[in-house]
Amino acid sequence: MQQHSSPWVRRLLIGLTAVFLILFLAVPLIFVLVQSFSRGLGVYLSAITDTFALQALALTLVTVLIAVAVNTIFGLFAAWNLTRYRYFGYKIVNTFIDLPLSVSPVIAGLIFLLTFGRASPIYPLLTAAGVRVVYAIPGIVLATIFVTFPYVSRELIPVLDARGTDEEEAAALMGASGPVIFRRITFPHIKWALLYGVVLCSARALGEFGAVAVLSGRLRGRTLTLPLYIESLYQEYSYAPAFAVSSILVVLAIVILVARAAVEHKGDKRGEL
Amino acid sequence: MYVELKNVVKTYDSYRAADNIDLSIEEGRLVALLGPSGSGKTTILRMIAGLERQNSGDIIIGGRVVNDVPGSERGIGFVFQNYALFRYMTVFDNIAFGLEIQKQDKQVIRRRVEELLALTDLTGLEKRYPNQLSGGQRQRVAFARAIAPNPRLLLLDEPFAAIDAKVRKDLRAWLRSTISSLGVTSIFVTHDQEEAIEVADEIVVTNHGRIEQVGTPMEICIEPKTPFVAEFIGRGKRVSNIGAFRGFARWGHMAAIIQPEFVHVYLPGEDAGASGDALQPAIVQDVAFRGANWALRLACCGEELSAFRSLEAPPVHPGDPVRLSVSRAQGIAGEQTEPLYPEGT
Ligand SMILES: Nc1ncnc2c1ncn2[C@@H]1O[C@H](COP(=O)(O)OP(=O)(O)OP(=O)(O)O)[C@@H](O)[C@H]1O
Ligand SMILES: [Mg+2]
Repeated sequence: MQQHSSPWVRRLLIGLTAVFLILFLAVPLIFVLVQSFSRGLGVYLSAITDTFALQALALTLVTVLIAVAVNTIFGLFAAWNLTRYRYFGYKIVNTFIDLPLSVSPVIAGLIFLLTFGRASPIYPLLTAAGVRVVYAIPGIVLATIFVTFPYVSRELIPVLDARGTDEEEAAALMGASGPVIFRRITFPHIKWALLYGVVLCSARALGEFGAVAVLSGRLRGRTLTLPLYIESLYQEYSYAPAFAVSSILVVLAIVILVARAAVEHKGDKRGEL
Repeated sequence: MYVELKNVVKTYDSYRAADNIDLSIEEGRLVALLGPSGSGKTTILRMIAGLERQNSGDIIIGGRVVNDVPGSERGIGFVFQNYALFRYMTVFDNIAFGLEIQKQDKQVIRRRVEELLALTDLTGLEKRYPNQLSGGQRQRVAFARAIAPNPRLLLLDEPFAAIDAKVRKDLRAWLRSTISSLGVTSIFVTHDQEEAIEVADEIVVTNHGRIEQVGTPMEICIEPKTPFVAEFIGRGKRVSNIGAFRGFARWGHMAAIIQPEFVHVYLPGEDAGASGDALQPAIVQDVAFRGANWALRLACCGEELSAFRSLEAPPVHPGDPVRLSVSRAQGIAGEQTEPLYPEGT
């Protein structure tokens, strides 16, 4: 779209945006990379191949995988029932889904601490069943799921809303079952939005710090995710290793960014995002 | 009777979108549901299709009460207002969908789809997607898709609404002849009276969630049973005092609707033939060219009338004094109407 504004205004706006991006995004990122190599390649390599670092990476990836899988399924259900059924209180549900976006992650962590920790009435039951939630991996996964759960449904709801129900009704009248309708009618329409939601959800899950920090217990090699591990290195004044491990996160973030651009490009071409 | 609605009520919140609907439709008929916007046409159609559940009353299709039968088991084909074609499927797959769901043999499906493509004049377009088709082509795909599984009842919601005027005329004629050659009982919704009159065997006029009248196009036009129908059909004007018109004095101050077809206009000196004595003066208010004739708006005895004038007759202009006679009116008495003819001239 071409707008008719003076070239100077345009240059100024583009320039400001560029300066802003460089100052707040590019410079810090370059700084991370520079810092991580500041003590030489040897230190960098040993930092990122450290057992604890690898364990943190593994835990992070597993957590992201579970959170994204759960939230994809949940997001599909939520988006479907919020756009296809009108029931008493659906507006409340609709607002509730956004709760994790408005609640600070630290508070989210505390909520789980209270629900599953020592102070909770169900704590004895959990202990009896041999399940540890708080200060253990289940807690980390739960917190991540909580924090990232609006992302998929929020991408899907507008798409499903805009599309209306008549194609689905037409298919249902011809006798198609729910799963067939979903697979052949609904899914082709929402797949790009779904993928986009998954990408956003992964990015958010990968970087989650606050809620996880409360529930992790910080056992190195057991309950430290990458962001927590980086922070603990930093607290020990191991700056170069902290930045080196950060660069892993940066690389993962860039991978996700590229995936996102690809999805956007594909979806855009077909006018579906 | 193939389709029957008995005392059907449908409310949205407290609004009665269908208010005690009683309706019977004979097998093989092509019926139009005609009424103004919001009068409940779509609601009735969707209830018959099982897409909406009535609050009370019975719906009977083919002798079976279908209140609790899902739409897919009612033997219906449905053409949606905006066609609702499956946009990620080709024309072929759209038409084949219903048959695939029924798990019919691939070969059988192919043959049936090809037959329907030929019937709907879409041969050669089977690989296209819906957004690569014109409005008229989409409409025909929707029609083909609806009849592919051989429904016994075809429901069409404003099948021509999204199509421009010229194509619409052709499609109407095509749809009419195709449906009658298939012999499938069909109900279509429209708010265009001309369409209903041209296409349907029978017209059901709806208003405010009620049925005002059921009848053949001829009956609806000539013998409107309620004031609403009398006013809705045609381009008639309502007058509050029919007694003011020559020949109608005995009905006093009765209200009536006068259709333009029954108002005859003569310029001074123009030969009025036999009705010469019954003429009374009027003033032309407005003249509009309508292609086949002139449409006139006239002031007469403090009332407003509309009339047509042939293109062959000498032209009239706004402000011209003319003389007119009324050969028929539809008198309104409460919720009833009766035809009135002038006397004594
Ligand atoms: N889902 C709904 N919720 C609430 N009210 C509705 C709903 N669907 C229809 N209505 C109301 O019911 C009445 C009848 O609607 P319907 O769609 O049957 O009208 P229609 O005769 O098909 O009109 P149109 O010619 O504009 O399509 C309208 O007043 C409408 O506002
Ligand atoms: Mg409608």
